[in-house]
Amino acid sequence: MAVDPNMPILIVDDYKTMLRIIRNLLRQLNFTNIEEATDGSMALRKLREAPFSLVISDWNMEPMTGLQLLKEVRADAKLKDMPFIMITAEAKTENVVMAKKAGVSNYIVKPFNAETLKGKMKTVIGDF
Amino acid sequence: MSRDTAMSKATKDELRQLLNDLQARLDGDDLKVEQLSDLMDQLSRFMGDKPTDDQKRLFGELDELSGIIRKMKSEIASLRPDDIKAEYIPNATDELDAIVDATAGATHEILDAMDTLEEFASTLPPEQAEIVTSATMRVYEACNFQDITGQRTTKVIKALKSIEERVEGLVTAFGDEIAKYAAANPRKKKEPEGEEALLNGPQLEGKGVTQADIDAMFN
Repeated sequence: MAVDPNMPILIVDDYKTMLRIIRNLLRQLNFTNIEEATDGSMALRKLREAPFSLVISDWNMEPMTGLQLLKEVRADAKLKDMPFIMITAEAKTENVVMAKKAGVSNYIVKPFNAETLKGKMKTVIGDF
Repeated sequence: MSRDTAMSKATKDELRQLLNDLQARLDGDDLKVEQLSDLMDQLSRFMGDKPTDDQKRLFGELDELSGIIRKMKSEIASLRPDDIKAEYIPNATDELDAIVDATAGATHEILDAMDTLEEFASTLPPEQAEIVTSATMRVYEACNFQDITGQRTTKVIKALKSIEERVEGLVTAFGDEIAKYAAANPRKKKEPEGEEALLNGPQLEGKGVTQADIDAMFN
């Protein structure tokens, strides 16, 4: 099934510049229905309020980190199957292992490029 | 006990009081290294006119220990940890904060410019628009650097704050010694003169003159 470019995507990062960069990159990949959150708890609230097709989240945020958000999402009956990509500067093996264990769909290390973002999105939501 | 080595009741009471105080501090974990030297000096006063060999050896050891502590205190004071805490670390963290703010501001400017270019691209024929879009995408990718440098700088600031806390501990412990050293050794730092004094690098927000101030000087 073709990916709908109008699918709602939630991007989560406490760094406004990064939100803007990801939003613009997604827009260039033709995704325009993008919502933002600046930490895990705000993201969780938005996820419970409205339907989303993909979450792209940073890890290092306060008060709720991206990993805690991921765990909350996977523990929520309504959200547990949500595609979830982590984009983070946390580049240690144990971070990736921990995220995989928590059920992350894919993992991108910053700095990243549009090609990497597109490739990981394809593996998670399908070709576009 | 011979008359020569016997202590008077008053001296015994004084020694007992001193030892009780010492025990209380030890029990309360309230004995600071900077107090040891004074304690050694106080204890040595109770050595009689004709001390035994054991007493001599003990007080010899105590005296040596006291000397080492005095030297250590003096060396720590000469490092002027108060300056490190009051000046160097705050200045360094302020400069690092300024770097993060400046690069964040510049990145937003770049992104604003890219937004304008993208809008412009939408008015171009598809082939030309593709060239502009491809270029702006590369700029977005490159702007990743700001997040990474920001996070790295934040790590350095945290490390500096941690050093600052430890230095503060030293300043608290050796405050009197540092003050004495500072009074006895006024700074001999050679202030730059002439044109050299004008090389201070970029100023922090609000510290230097603004372009408006400069313009006013020319009007």
